[in-house]
Amino acid sequence: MTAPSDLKGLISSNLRSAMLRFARLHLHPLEEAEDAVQDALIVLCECADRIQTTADPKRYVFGVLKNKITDRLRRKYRHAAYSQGKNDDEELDALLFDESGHWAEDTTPAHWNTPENQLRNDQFFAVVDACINHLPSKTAQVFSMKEFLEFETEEICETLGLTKSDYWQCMSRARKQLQVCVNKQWFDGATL
Amino acid sequence: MMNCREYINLLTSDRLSQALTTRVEGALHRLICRNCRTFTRNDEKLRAVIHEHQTKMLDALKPPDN
Repeated sequence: MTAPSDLKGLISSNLRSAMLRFARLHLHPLEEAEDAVQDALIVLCECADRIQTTADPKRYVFGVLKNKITDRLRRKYRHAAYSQGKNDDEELDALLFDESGHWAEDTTPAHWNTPENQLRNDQFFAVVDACINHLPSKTAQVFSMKEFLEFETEEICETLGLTKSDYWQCMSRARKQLQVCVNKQWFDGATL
Repeated sequence: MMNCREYINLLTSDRLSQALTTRVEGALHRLICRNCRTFTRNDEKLRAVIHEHQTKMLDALKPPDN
């Protein structure tokens, strides 16, 4: 680990870019993500000796970064009302299902024949990432906190000021819309 | 009997395995509904890919050695 005084070296290292990739999933605009990374780097410089002795340095870095992102999210959402109405999810359901609750004829899920290991590449993830970015902002936020920052449900609700029901609705919306989007963008909109 | 909309909403909000009766109803629904089986398999693939990518991003957080 870099010496505490060597902030410049740490900032120019690959570590900063890696941290920024995480922060950009959660904080907008870019400047705010950069500020969170900068705050985390300062903490890391101050406790460089401790990082050297920790069993898993990358988990330590992740923990510091996660705290800095959470601080900013908490400040941002503390007074913000939950703006995404239940109607958004109902609109998506109205597209996917008919009145009896069965799949609508032209939106049945496509069978993704591609083996899982062939989907594990950067091009496929770039499509997934773009689809996450097309989710409504609060939905994307909840989904990213759960899947990328490893937050527990209760922590997400507390940080963003959501009820459990809001949380379930966001996760459900995210996973349904992601599958529809990936199907369209990667599998050429195939159906069964 | 659970319909597709109910099954998918429970699956995608991670509430399908909360209660034994819901779990059983969900399994029965999957058994008879090809579309929901397909959606479930795709959802698992998508989550596995996202998890793998998250792990890669996490691995990149290794601090530089001095």
